[in-house]
Amino acid sequence: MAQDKTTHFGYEDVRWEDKARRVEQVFDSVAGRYDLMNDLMSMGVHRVWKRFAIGLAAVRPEDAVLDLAAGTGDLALAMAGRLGPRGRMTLADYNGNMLALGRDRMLNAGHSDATFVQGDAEALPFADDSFDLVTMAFGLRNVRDKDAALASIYRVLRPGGRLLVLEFSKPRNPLLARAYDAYSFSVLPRLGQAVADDADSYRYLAESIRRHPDQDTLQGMFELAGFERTQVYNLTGGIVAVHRGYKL
Amino acid sequence: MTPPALLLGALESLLNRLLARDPHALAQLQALGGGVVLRLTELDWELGVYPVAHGVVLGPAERGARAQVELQTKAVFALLRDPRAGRAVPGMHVAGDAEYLQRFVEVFQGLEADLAGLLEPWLGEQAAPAAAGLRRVQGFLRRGLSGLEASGAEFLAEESRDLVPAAELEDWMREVEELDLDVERFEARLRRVERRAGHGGEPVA
Repeated sequence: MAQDKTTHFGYEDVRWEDKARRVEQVFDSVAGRYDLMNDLMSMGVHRVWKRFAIGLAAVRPEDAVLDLAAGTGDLALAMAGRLGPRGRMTLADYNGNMLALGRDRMLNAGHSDATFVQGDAEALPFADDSFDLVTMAFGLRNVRDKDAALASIYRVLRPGGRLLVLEFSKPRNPLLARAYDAYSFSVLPRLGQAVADDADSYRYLAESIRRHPDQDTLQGMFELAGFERTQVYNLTGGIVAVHRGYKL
Repeated sequence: MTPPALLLGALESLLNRLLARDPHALAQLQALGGGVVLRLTELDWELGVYPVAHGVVLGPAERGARAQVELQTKAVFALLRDPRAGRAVPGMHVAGDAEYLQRFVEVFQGLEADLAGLLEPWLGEQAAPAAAGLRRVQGFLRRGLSGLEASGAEFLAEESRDLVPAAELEDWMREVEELDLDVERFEARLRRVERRAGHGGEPVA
């Protein structure tokens, strides 16, 4: 029965309908210090990861771009600068507080023509074949049904369109993996407590990363959703990976 | 084996940024379609270059490629030194649709590397002088490399005599060919002598 269906929230098993609310609580809690924490946690490297992903996206001036889990708009800001008058930028996020921050940053940067949509990646509120490019940075991990999200993204992409997912993944080197584990479970919650006054949300971050599919599994999920010419780019030894697939 | 993904990604991003600044080249690539497979034999690297709507995708070799190019390392360096060297480069082997490959390569040869444009997001107004500086360094390195190559060849051939000068080598090759022909003629004459001697025929002139 539907009410018995469970999913994971970090290492915890929660009821299916509770996960979205719990994830929303996490992001409500961290929204104000989100960018600062990203810089502190990654020691600034997240900017390099995002720049690499944007390079791979190869935004064209006339592209219709959807940035999912847009958050504070890091990716959207950089991509909007590459769009021409015929281009279209849409930011979507499940969390209203995060989307509000992204909207403010976009407007402050002069991108008043962007569209902002609060919505669920599993059931995107857009017509079929609407976008040339869909990006999702550090968002897929928090989605309950990743297969449904990938299928939904596939549906809204135009033929020839591409999806780029930038997400935490599995380090390829065992030594790096051990160091990374120690950092994630010892340092991150303390950093979260000190800076954002919220250790639990950053413990969830570390746990959700461990529960996220590894590079090969996610690539398989891309292919299952219908994406072709899929590729994986490991960054910083596989701590983060960019997955790309085309709707051909 | 495919080259490291990070290297491919960086190279693809650079190519696509260049193509984005040249809509004519991008349109030509899209019209060509297909793709080219490059094999770097000594590194055992193989990658496909496929035109897509926003530029090119660099990835594993797939079906649908219309030409294959095998390159030894020396050929890669020769092409980096002179991208217009074409198929005359030693260590390069081409298979598939040669005309398609020629047109494919011409698109990239025609790309103007707009260094100032590429540096502009990072350096702002300083991009143009920085690009000019980079071009000077590039020219200096290219001239330096050519000079070093010529001087090195001259030293090895003329001073240390470790290598034979090209002209002497050609003379020697010509003499070997003449010798080879002479030997063949001599063998033919011997066979004629043996044949006639065996049949008690008329003496050889």
